[in-house]
Amino acid sequence: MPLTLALGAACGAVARYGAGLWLDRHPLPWGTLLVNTIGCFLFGFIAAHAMSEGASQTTLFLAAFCGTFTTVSSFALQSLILRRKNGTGRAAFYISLHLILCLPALYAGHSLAASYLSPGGTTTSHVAPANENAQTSSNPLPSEASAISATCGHIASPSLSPHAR
Amino acid sequence: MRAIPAIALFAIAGLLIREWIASLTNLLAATLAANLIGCLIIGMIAALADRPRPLLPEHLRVGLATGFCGGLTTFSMLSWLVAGPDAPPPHLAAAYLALSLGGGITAAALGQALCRPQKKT
Repeated sequence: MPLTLALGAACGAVARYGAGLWLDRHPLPWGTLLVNTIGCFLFGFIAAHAMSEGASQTTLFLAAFCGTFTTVSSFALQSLILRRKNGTGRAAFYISLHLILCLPALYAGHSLAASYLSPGGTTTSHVAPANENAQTSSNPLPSEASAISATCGHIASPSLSPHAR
Repeated sequence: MRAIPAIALFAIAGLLIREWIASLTNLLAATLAANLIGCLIIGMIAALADRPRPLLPEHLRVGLATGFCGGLTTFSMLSWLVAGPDAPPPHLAAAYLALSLGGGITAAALGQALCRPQKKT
């Protein structure tokens, strides 16, 4: 695993821990909601950027960062705890907030990068792939970092891009 | 502060295992599997921590729960799969999302149930 990815993964998890210490003391675990929303926005942005411009060390770092910054496990556990302590309504509210915020955040990040990168400044939902490889596989892999490298093919290593070809 | 190195190291391990799962199957199945396994493990860790005499030291518990499970699971990739440019049709995306999140919550509950101390009869 390249050092960039390891560093991104470590920084993402530690940043989430910090956000959790800061915000998860409130009745609703805002920390996890915030990191998931920011992480989705950031990943949408860098994925679009990498698909258009190719992967750099910075985008790989950010992709690994997003992978460990966002979490489903804490979300699931906190939903369970909320249901137990505050009732089903509060848990459903928390789950709904995730859906309402995270999915549009990813779309917004992707669209922003697309409009930023397109010459005319027009927003497009799909960024033009950077190379031929991207045309055949624009779908990221479970690890956001390998997603970027596999999609762009510029820094892809065989061990990190099992689905790339 | 002792938790931070543990979180960093376990997060890298979580990401590596997600890579390994990705090498075994397709994208959707791999992400679903990684998320469900991570939720199961965090449920088990939470139950172990709730015991009167916790089995894990605090920094190891935080490292495993926040680092490993957080590194193994990913909300950003899940969102990309259901809302990104290559997302499946809406009804399939909704089903996948429900399976991932509902399944994750169920897996966490299952993990808690598996590791909850048994009451003496």
